[in-house]
Amino acid sequence: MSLTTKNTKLKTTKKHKENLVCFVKTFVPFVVIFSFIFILFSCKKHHHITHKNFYHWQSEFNISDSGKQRLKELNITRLYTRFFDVVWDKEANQPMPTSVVKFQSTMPYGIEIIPTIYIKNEVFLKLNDNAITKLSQNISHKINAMAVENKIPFTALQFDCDWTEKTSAKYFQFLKNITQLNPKKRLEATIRLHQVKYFIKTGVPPVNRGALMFYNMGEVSDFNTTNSIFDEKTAKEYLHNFDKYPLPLDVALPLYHWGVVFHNGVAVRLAYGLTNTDCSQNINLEKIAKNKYVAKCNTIVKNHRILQGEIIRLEVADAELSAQAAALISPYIKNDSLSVTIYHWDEKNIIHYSTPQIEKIFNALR
Amino acid sequence: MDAPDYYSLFNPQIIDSAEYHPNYFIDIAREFSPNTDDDQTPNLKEWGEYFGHSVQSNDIRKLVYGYNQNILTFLTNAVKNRKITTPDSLLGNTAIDQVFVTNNVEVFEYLAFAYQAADYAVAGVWDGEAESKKTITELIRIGTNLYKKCANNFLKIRYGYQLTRLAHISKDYEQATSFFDTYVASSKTESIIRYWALNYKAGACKWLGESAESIYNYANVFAHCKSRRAHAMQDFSQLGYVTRPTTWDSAIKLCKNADEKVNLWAMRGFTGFYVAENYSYVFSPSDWGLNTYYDSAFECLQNIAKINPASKYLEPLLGQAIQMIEYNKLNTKRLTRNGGYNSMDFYENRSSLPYAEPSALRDIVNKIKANPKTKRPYFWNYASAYLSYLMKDFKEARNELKVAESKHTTDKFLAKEIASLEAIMKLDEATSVTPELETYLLNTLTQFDIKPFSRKEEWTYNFFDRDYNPSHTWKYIMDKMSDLYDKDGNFEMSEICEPTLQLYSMMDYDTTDMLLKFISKEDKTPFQKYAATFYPAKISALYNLEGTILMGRNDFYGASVRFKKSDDSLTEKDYLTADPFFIRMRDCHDCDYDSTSKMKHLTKLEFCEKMLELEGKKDQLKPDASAEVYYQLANAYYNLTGYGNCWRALSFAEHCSLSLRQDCSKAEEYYKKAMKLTRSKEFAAKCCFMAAKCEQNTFYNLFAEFNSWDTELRQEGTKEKYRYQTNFATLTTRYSDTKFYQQAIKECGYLRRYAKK
Repeated sequence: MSLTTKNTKLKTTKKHKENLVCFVKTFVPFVVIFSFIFILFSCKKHHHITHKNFYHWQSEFNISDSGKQRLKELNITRLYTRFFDVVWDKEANQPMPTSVVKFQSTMPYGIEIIPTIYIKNEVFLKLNDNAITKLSQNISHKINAMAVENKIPFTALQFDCDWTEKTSAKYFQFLKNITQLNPKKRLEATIRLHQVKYFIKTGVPPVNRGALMFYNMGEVSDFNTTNSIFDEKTAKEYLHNFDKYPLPLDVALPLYHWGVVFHNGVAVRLAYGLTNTDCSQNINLEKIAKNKYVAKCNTIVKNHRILQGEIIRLEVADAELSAQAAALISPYIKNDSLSVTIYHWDEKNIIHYSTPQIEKIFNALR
Repeated sequence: MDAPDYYSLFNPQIIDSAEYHPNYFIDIAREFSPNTDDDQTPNLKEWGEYFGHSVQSNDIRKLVYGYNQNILTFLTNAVKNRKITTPDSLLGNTAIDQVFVTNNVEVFEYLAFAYQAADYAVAGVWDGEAESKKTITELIRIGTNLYKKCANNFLKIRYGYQLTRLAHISKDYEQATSFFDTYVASSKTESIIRYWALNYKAGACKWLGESAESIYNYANVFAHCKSRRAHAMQDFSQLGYVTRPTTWDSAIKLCKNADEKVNLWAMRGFTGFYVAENYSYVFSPSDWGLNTYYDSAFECLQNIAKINPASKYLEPLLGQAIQMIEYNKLNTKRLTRNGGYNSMDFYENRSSLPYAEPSALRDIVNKIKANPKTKRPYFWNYASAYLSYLMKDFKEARNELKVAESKHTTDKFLAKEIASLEAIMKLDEATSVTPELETYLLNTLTQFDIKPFSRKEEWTYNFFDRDYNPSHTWKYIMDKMSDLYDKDGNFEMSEICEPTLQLYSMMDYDTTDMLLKFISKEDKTPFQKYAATFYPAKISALYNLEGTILMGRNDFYGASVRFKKSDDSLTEKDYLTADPFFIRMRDCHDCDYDSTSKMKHLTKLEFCEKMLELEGKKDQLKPDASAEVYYQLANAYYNLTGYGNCWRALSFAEHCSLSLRQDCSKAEEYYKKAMKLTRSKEFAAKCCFMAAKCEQNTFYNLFAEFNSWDTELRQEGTKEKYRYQTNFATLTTRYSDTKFYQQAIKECGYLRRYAKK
């Protein structure tokens, strides 16, 4: 190698080194900064919201034009519509459908209706093993008959059952049967917090996706409960095993309110739709705590008859609280994409919330 | 609140109405349904009359309820075509045989249709609406044709029922009412089926908004059909008649006679509270005064009495009205002292319930009793007496009781209540306990067999059973006597009459001993002896309790004497839960507790005897042996505390933290003694460590608040803590070269921290 070549080589090498140093000095800080930012934002789980939905749980399906417009504004893509409940009929000594929904309006355009069936756990407690097939056939038949009659094409089904360790085998067999009877439908099941935390015991349903019900976690009948719809402290006690849970989970969040009426300390009924305004404007109700009123004499408030001495505990899950709940659960949902459903669609309630307020709920999971 | 939680001195047993028992008590009225039959019994009775005596009832049951559509269709064909062979399984049924013999194919035809309709009523719920309607339409077509073909009135009314039912199920309510009117109402056949069908018509009217017609029909079902009574009441209560007087008036106008009006009022009276408790209505406040609550029993009683003073509904409705008054007026004292929703706060703030003033009710009662047409006027005399008692008008009450007594002859229930009320009044007037009072009450209680309230099943009350004893007379008498004894300074009898002391939680020797001596003594009055038999803690249990208390005081001799006197058979509680002489370096409450063999350890008596033995010889031995005995005793004293493995031994109640002994001073004393006596340095180290544990426990017993999150308090606590570490000091200075010390410092964080300092 000639000296020139060597020098050239040396010069080249030196230049390369200088370039390299320059590169490092210039870009590494940016790399470090970006890495830091990346790591920082990696701690917060981001999700891609595939569908924004509502539950429709009322006995009459009657969405007004303004309601349909509102659904459109909110970009709602699915309505999980309760078709009917299944309860154990003592007289007939078998499961029977009840509270069958009446379709009284046309379907909102562009929104998919997902038939949702609520089955009381008692049904599976009392059902014989050899009756599971018949039950799945009956339920499947009824869903399809109702869908045909009301011209509702559907691609998925959701079952809502608070199953336990004792009933898991029968319920899961039921779900398997449903899958076989409806092979082209996506099957979903609601999952409650305790069914994640203790999934080893209670099992995992054989469905395509689970819908995590992130509400109703408190003991509604306990007089000392503050808000049975959503209680952060209680919820946190159940935030375990999400990392191990094998089913992809969607999330269901609350947006409703009610009053729990206590008679001599015993919860006797739920006064749906009761608000603080309703109670504070009633001269026969006296506020005794932040969310409690007592009836000074027999009275009626928003069509609910309250006897003297009865105590109403108001419980609210507004958009703010729902967004907080969403933010709380978000890091625990390990699947990247998820569908979010709000319980529930009630036009009289939804009008109190602006679109940004409701959007905030969905955004908290992004 | 539940029935046993409040006083009710009006015993429903005196009401002469097995069929219409009132809704006792208010809070359980929701779960309560009136006496009902099943559907099958009256229907089978009618089929039995139809077939006649030659057919066996089991065969009829099988035919009507035990087969299915396929079998009945087969049988229909077999009658028509005698060449078809009847399978063996159907042979020998006398009902089937009769149909074949009489060629009465219509029976099989009807039953085949009935089975088909019944099956669809159940299975059809799973069809879609249109599908279901189609199937039912076809069934109605078949049924209508069969009805027209049928010549048999007994079967025709049944077709009418099936058709009404099918129309109702398919929600064609107009058709349902039409079928009833055409095929059932027009039939002259007397049958329970008429009311089954009427129940459907009532429901159809409800859905069609014909409330008055619906109410009227439900009342007729209520009156004539036991098996559908509860259902009719439930639906009736949803109809808003309370808030729309016009509906009620219209329903009354539909009544064809006085009986129907009475039925309507009765139904309203019995279901009145359902309305209040369970349903909310849309109505205008102007329809109905908000502040005047609706006592249905009282109002209905008034109206029925005007129409028919001999009505069978009057007595049960009166019972209901009185229950309302008792709930509100009589109960100034709580009967139970459980926690939860029966606690004092809820009791005292309990919701009031609607009731008629006793004076107003008494006025009606007096009118009824004065009416010559009244059934059992002596009952109304008693009722008037009782209401006077509630008004504290004892003179009037006694007058009425005299009349009642003179009028009735053989009503043993009434005789008992008359005597009870006399006794109650005498007691209410008494200002102190006298021998005469005791004798009088004892005679009344025993002569009339007045017993404590009994509950046959948790949470269910069978008020139809006249042997059931739902009155609180006995409890009331005992509670009142307790108050009087207390006033007289007779603490023991006050407690015996009304047990309030939580002896097993209190673990108080003096109180227990006082009661024990009293219950054991012979010279008690007859009333005192009688009352003592009901006291929940028996002598044997009290000795056991005393023994346990003395054991906790380290009086093992006294304890063993008591345990020997307690002759109850041994239960789990009489055994120690672990070996009390075994100790661990680290406290582990339940590590030694073997849940599978609770009874293998020492009994309390055996433990006391062992302790006596060890205490007796601890100073009699050579030093090393003596040290060992002291060590064992120390372990036992430690394990009896809340820190040890036999902490339950000093507990009697199920959940008892109060009786936990925390004082480790005796154990510490004996560990130190053992430490001094022994020549083994290792053993001494062990004893010293255990003494240190005791000392530390003493600190925490005295200064628990220093173990808090409050920094200032913790700092205070830290200063105090040093004063309770003298044994740690000894352990580290004298025994740090022992193997035991090395092991202890690994296991015990407190020692490690101390040693570091």
